[in-house]
Amino acid sequence: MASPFELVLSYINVNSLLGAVGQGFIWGVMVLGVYITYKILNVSDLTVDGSFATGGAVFAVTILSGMNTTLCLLLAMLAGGLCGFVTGILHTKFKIPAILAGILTQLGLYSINLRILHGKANVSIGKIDTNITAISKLINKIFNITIPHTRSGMILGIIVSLACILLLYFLLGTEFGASIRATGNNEKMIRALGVNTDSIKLFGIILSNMLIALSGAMLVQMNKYADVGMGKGAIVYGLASIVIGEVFFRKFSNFGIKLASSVFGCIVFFIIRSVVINLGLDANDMQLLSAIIVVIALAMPIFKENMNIRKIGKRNSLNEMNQSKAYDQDYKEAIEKRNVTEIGGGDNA
Amino acid sequence: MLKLKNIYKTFNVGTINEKRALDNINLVLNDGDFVTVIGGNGAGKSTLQNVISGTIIPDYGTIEINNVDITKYPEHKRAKYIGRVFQDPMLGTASDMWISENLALAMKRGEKRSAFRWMIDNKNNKFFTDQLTKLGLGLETRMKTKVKLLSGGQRQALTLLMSTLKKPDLLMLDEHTAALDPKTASLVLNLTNEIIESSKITTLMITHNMRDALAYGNRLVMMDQGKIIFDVSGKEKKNLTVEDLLKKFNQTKDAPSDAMILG
Repeated sequence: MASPFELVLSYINVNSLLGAVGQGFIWGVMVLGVYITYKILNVSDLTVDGSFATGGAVFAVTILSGMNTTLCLLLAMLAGGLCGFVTGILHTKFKIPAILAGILTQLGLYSINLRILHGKANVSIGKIDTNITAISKLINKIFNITIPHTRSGMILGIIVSLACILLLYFLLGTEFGASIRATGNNEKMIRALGVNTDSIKLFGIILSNMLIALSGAMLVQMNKYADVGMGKGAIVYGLASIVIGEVFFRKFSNFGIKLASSVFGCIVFFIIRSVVINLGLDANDMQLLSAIIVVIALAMPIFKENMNIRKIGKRNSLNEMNQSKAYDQDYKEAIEKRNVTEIGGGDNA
Repeated sequence: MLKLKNIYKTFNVGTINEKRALDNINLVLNDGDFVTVIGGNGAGKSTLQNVISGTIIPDYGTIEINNVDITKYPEHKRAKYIGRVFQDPMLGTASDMWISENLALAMKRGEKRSAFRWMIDNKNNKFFTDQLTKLGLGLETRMKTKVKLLSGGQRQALTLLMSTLKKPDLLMLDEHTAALDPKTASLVLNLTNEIIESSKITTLMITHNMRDALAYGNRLVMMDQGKIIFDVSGKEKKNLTVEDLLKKFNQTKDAPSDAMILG
């Protein structure tokens, strides 16, 4: 009998692995969008599922009308920004809780996306030239080799996600960007320092949804079709990716690495997905799996706390001497900790 | 100069809980005034503070700072003139950001924040270090420490520094030592006094503590039922004792709280 590990390995092949990595980079741009709202602004924006499909739908329709590919990408981003604008206004001007505002927009977007796709649930873009085919052609020209469509898609994903990481890294390091981070951290404080937090949130939600729509448009290039339900579960994929990324890069505090870690998490997520599918599960099962991943990650702090309480119980059941020793140790640690952080601790009072 | 003219504010109008929180408040703070505001619970101190900072818009009246009418300005627009320190030490700083980042944010209070200029630029580093050294808490060596690792007192001292880093036209202290232990509170209060005296900052300090209200500032204002019932300054204020204040309080309907007597 093969061990479970070997069993899993046997289901991984280079082709599906690379395919998963490519998907990871393309969806990774969406994850960066989710990162802006969820992690930086501390706003749970659920517009994602809708605006992802909007980006894809707008791209499909505009490219079918014969427009320049890059222009189509920009239009898709613009449409995504508009989705974000609606959620942002609902949240900041009408004071609707962010979660509800996002759900409302997402719900409405389903109808709008169907309209954009001329009432069809699925629109194929066929063999139309896209950024991905352009990359294939370029590589063919320079290296004289033909690479599969999905590989070129991966290259597009790498270029765009790296560009987005750099852009966000530099933006958030500026004076303006710092006020975005501070808004997510302590709204009252940064308002008292003269920042209009409503405008900042609006800007953040718009930017986030622009990236999400861009990701959707790239996925249409990759899949060669747009689907009205293509964004379903995107928010959970995004959160799962962020969570996975955090597990791998917990120790890093550099902001650029944190951004990159969420794209990395997305790649890992899609590798898990491809393994799960190769194991014989349906792609739709991924929704459940990603929900479980997110739940575990969010429940972790409580779980750890409970473990700690159990440990106290164990400590108390030790014999008296050990108990007092353990207590002394804890006390010493607590005092040391306090001296480090407390005002006037040590000699400087 | 801060000028409040005929300020009225009533909450829950037309209900059984209707409460006139501010009742024709007229108050002028001259440049360099350090005013302590004292009063019982529900006297209107907090509402007064909120009306000046812009979290509450008054029903009637005007607020002017340096002859600019700011009555209708939202909170963030008033930041150009006003520096604030809150009662809750967690509210004044961004906990997940470094000390230096917090200072850099405060440096730009009320100014436009450019998307094309780095927030941390080493030009200010020496200035920040010098200012932190003045606090005497050893924070100058911990510029890249996240603020959440500091104690309440350290955070409050940092907030104080941040609110005065760029000299404000008005400094508002909203019971800013109420959440600290007595030793730390007096340390922060002494720092407050030093900073205000050395930069001649016009200050409005709301406090629950009579002794602090007497010990600091050149002017004392007592509020009750939304009105200013007592306003002394200069020599008269210097000669004032806790007993005098208690007498004043006993003339009002609200008996003073324990905290005021014991403090």
